[in-house]
Amino acid sequence: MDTNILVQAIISGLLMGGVYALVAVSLNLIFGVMKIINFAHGVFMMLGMYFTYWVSVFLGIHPYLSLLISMSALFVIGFLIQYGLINRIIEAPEHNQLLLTLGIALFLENLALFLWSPNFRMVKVTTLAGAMHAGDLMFSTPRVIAFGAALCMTVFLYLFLMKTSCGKAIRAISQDREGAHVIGIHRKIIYSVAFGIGAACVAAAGTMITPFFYITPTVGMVFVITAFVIVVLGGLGSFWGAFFGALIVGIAESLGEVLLSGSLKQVPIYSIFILTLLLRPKGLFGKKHV
Amino acid sequence: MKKRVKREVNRREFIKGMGALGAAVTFSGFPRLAHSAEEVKFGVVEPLTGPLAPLGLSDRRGYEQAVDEINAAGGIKSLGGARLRIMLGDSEGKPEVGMAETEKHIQRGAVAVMGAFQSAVVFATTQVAEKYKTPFIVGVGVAESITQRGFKYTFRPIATDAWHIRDEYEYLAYIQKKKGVKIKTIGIFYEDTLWGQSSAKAWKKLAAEKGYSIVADLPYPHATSDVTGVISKLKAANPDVAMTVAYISDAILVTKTMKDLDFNTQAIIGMGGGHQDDAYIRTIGKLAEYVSVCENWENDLKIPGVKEANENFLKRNGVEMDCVASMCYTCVYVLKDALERAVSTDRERLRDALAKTHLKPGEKGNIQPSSIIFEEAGQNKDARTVIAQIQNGKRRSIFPPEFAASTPIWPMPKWKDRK
Repeated sequence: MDTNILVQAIISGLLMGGVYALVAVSLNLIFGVMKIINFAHGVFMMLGMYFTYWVSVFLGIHPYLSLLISMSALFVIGFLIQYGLINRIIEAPEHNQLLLTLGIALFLENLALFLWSPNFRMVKVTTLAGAMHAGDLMFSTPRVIAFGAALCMTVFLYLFLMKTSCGKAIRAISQDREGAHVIGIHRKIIYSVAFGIGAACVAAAGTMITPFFYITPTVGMVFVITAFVIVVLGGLGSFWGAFFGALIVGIAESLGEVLLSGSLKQVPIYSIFILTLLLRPKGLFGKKHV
Repeated sequence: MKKRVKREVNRREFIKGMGALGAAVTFSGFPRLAHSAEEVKFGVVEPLTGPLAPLGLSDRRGYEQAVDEINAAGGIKSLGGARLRIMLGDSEGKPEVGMAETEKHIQRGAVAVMGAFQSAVVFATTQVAEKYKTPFIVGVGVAESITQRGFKYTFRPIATDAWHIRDEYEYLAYIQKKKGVKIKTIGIFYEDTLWGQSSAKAWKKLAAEKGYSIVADLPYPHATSDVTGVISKLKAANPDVAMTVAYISDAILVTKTMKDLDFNTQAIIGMGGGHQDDAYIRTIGKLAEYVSVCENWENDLKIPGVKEANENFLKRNGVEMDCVASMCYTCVYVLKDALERAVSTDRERLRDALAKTHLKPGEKGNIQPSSIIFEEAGQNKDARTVIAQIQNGKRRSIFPPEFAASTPIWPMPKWKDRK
């Protein structure tokens, strides 16, 4: 095997890992705070991609410029879904919450099929497209940008959770629901804000990949299954666990792609996943008491 | 108050009526086949709802156009101008539903049934038709084994999946002769479910027979997030020609990655699926240029009737005729031809007439690029495919040369030489 191909695989895996990170970190935020497994996460990503698509088609602007629009739109959608729907069943058994988020996902996905048809679309970009070459190595420009954006976004999110009072309230509520309630944190609002932020982050992931990925109502599934694996791998509720877990999975997947063939490329990911569950059930970066 | 009108038939009237009817039958002969107002019904079974609905719709348009054309031109002449009537059945994309629909059509008097888009459904529906001794004309459904079961009532005018691959190699032979180039190495990359795997097997078998060497054999999972690894391996192998089968999502991603990695080769030849989809060109625009695809039909073929059928289709539906619509269209004409020769709507006679079908390309509504002559098990032994290349944002037929509207651009320009 050519070393060039291996290095190329590590690079593209790392870049893809950045995109996975953004999906997984936001999924983990929702899980960490509300203990809700959000099956609608992939659908939020898809909605973010469509917002970007329509904004760039109608306004004729570069998809990156629609980032704030798709993020705010998804923040509002996420906030309302949490406020109006999920808050009602937040104390219900977990499988009921699961059914609700799955139901929301099915509804939104089919709505997208109805509104926009299952046709594949792609945002046509001319600037910041293509690839940079260093010797025989290729760095896809939009992927490098997506990776950078994912890194920035993760850092921002981290600072937000650590430094701002809203972030502190989110953390407080994730540590002790009752206690937070007692000291006057408005639980329903904070839940809704956290869910909205999660949705906005995954919308950002959607926006960042539109220059190199196709858009279709079922596109979220491509990423979100992997994101679930990452979240468990990194440790449920662990912020940096999700981030580094994503990079590990990205690299494992692309090395699997060149060393094994076809669907076997998933084998390294799931091997790591199973080993983690066996040897370190709380995840690579998980705390003892999640 | 509503006035109730009693309309009873008393015995006297009944006897009178029957007497008149009896006299009519006696004097005019039994109103069997040669009656001008007669209708000949046939059934179609297509995925009209469900995920394949858009393609089922295309099939339906093909059938309906042929029926309308035939009826407007005077129906089935040997049956006294009997009109064709289509009975629609929805398979929902499921074999068991397809079977039920086929049975329903047959019980309602269909002389023949057509369909059913998916090979899995065709497998089931042809069994029902065989049981009821009713001809089944396969519109779309390319699995080779459909016509390897020795069925007497199954007829397939189009080429099987294996023949697509045979024709790809014929195209390579043609190019080498025409352009004076040497093609030795082939890279194959394919989605790794049944479709891709069986194609790969056929590619490898024929490559060995014809003296090509497969230098890259690269399966990939469908709907994956990244194909950089696959394409970098393909690039490292540097094949003269790359052949693939891909669904549209993967075809889009692969083509973009090829550009990013600056992968150049003499030709990229897809097979049906994603590369045959207009959305492939619409979605990636210029990146799709020069990519070739092996398919059953193209709407610019130089065959009598293609232009008219395509124009009529465009007028009726607002879109150009596609490959699957053309195949269904042809099936109706195959039925018409057989009915003319059978001079009967008896299914057994119709079967015998179908078995003796001999239609040249362009003859009596056969707009396919080959003659239609069924062998024992119902496969059209002359069936062949078309190779098209995307030129100026449209698929143009380039092979076989006798029907092609355009000529191959060979080799594909390198990425850096394109605008």
